[in-house]
Amino acid sequence: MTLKRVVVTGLGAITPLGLSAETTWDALIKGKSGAGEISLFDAKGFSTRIAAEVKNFDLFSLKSRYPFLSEAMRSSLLAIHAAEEAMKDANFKTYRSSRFGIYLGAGDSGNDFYNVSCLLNDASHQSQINPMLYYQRATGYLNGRRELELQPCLTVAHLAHIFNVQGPVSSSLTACAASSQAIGEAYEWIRSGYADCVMTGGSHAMIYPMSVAGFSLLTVLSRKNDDPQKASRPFDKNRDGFVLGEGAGILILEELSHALDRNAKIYGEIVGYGATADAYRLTDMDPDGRGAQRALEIALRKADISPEDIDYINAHGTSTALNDFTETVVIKKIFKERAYEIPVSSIKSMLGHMIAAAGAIEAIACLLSLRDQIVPPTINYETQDPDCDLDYVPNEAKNRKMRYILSNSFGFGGQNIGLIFKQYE
Amino acid sequence: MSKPRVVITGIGVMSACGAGRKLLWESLLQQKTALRLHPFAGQSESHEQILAGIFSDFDPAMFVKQRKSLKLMSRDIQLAIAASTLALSDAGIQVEHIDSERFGTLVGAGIINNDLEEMTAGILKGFDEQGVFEMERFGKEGVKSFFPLWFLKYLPNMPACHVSMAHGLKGPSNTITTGFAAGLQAIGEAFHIIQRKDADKMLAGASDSRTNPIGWAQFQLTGLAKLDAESPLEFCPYDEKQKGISVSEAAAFLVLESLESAQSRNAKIIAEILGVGICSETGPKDKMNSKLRSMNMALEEADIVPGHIEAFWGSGTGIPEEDKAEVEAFQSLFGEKTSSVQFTSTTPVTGHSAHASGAIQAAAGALSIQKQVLPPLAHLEKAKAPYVNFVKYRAQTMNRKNILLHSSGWGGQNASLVLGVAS
Repeated sequence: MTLKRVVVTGLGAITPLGLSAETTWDALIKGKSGAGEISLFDAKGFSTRIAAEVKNFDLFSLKSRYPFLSEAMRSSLLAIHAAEEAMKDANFKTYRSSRFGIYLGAGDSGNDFYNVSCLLNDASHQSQINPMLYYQRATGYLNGRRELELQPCLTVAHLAHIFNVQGPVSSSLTACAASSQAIGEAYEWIRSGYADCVMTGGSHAMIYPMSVAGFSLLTVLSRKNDDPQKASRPFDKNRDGFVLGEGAGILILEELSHALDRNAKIYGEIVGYGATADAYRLTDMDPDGRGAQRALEIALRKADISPEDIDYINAHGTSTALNDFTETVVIKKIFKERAYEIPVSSIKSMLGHMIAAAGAIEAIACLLSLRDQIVPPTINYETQDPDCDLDYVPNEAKNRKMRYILSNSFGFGGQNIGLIFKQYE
Repeated sequence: MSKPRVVITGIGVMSACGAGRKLLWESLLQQKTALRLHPFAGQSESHEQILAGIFSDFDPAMFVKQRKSLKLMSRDIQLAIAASTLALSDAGIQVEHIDSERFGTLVGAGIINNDLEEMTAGILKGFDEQGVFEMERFGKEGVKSFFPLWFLKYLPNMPACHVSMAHGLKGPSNTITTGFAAGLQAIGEAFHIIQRKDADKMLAGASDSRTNPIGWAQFQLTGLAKLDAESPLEFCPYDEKQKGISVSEAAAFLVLESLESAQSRNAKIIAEILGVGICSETGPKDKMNSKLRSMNMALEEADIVPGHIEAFWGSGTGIPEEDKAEVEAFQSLFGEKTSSVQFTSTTPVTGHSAHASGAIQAAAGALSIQKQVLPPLAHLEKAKAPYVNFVKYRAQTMNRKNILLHSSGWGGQNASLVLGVAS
């Protein structure tokens, strides 16, 4: 059995920088920031009051076109918006739905916070919750359809419904690595012949009170509330955490001959995927980055190339002290002295951290980098950190001849993903 | 390049029947249900009867030695650690003696329900003296009353992370969140990972604990559980009188290995995984067809025809439309041979353990292959589908053919798996 080649033939995105893949890309190469004060809820009392929100997104137009989305969560709506663009971009005349699949890194949108709070209050006496009252009074506060829609599996279910996808479907949630992992798994499906086309990528809408609370308690969010657009500063000495982002990125992966047969536009090829676990510690990466290093090496091995061949690294680059340090260590271990010659940039400096959707938007950026031969910058890079001394493409995009790009993604709990994109030849 | 064959060499189960595969198997054979009326019953103003499977004797400290670590784990995670530990020991694997980089983890999960008391303490601080919720107040006073790592107890990928950390497994790790199909799907995806040689061994399964007020409220609100004074006091999916789901908590993990890896260490082989099918409903009208599609995908990958299947393990959700569509898909797949295929499920005995239910089915299914015995579908009196050959009253012997498992519910995702005797 020979393995199939996998190309990307459609892109769609909705991000803090734009409502499409192209508008997002345009803002990324101009070095714009999508961050600002949180408007999705009143964050005045929170230690972090900034985030990168999707703006001017008309939730209601989607809901009016698809009445079954009436109670759909924000994350599902973002995914559907991006998927419509990607499918239009891929420009299928027809497709065999039984050979069409979905593999998404689909995140959540939090619980029905306000109503849950009122229910808890009503079911408590002198600050003590009465579990039976909570159960009995739930119907008075919560909406059944909405409760169902809050499950992460609903996003792929809606996509399968809208696009009549009858092939394999999966949904994975591995924190910050989820959509890179989904793209990798989708690539494996096509490579092994399990499907001809797969809609993949991810979506997440985590700018809600319980998640801002949760991340704040973990002390991973930037508190540069006075200057939101300067807060996300990966690899800069004065970085103090990530800026929470939200959005969706969808890619259409296709088996090469299937794409050629229908004369599809080809953005690039996926040639390598590696996934590992640190099995180290819950919140921290192994400071030696051994798990991350293995993931990237597996991806290189699958691509059958050497580190010499990589022309650009799209970094995980969250803007937390430990991640950026460890990622730099890992890059040096793999690329040795050449590490200093390869541009490494983090678009999280502009988009914030879109969590489960981060890897998807980074994959889209890699493919558009290959198309336009432009490296997007790391903005807000001002002061060099002696421990982070690579070429982070500070503040301005640059032209570069590129054939192979490596994209890194690392998740809470020590999950590491490496993906390799290649110019289509 | 030929694909490696993939076999099951270890089973670990934590269910309302107790700890370990033995208790599960004995309960299934004896039709000894682990479901009990929850203490809410009788106190309730509306006389609702909650029939649930709670593992009340579960002692997490037996499996997690450090008290500090226990505090970071929701009950779902604790059950996952316990079941995965039992699976490794059943497989005879000592993790320090294996190549941990070629050993991965795959877990089916959903959003883990918060602990009610923990959540209440923080949120009530957001209410002012008049009982009005103020977000600013919650931000200032509420947030800090949660303990710093509180958030990590409930992220869906945390069971997988804790399992990989507990056993030092450094291969691929993934968390599948496809509703009630997630447990069976996780095992199916782990099978693919070994087939494509990204790992030699995988610990695959699922864990879920929704036998709590938040969980019951969810099932009631979403219409999956119909609770009233007339509810039957036994859980009897596929029976005319069953109106909804009876939830239990559980975790089950399987050790999957390439045949070569199993043979090289002389492992006992329980069953072989032959094919998996995973797909979604494409709308409400596709319920039956999508189930059938997943079954056909699994048979196709296994490269067998329906005549090679002798037994079927159903989801057993007890949700009337789900049971009906599943039975129709079953009949449609086997056609005129329907009556020659035996139909059973674990759930009348174990309860339906939501995201973990498919993993429990797979554990029981693998045991049935190993023992060549098919446990009965307990409590069935008046089946909605008279032509289906439900295994009633007593266990049946098997004829070394294959079994098909199916799991679905919540969101419309389906997973099917074919298991056979590893010859």
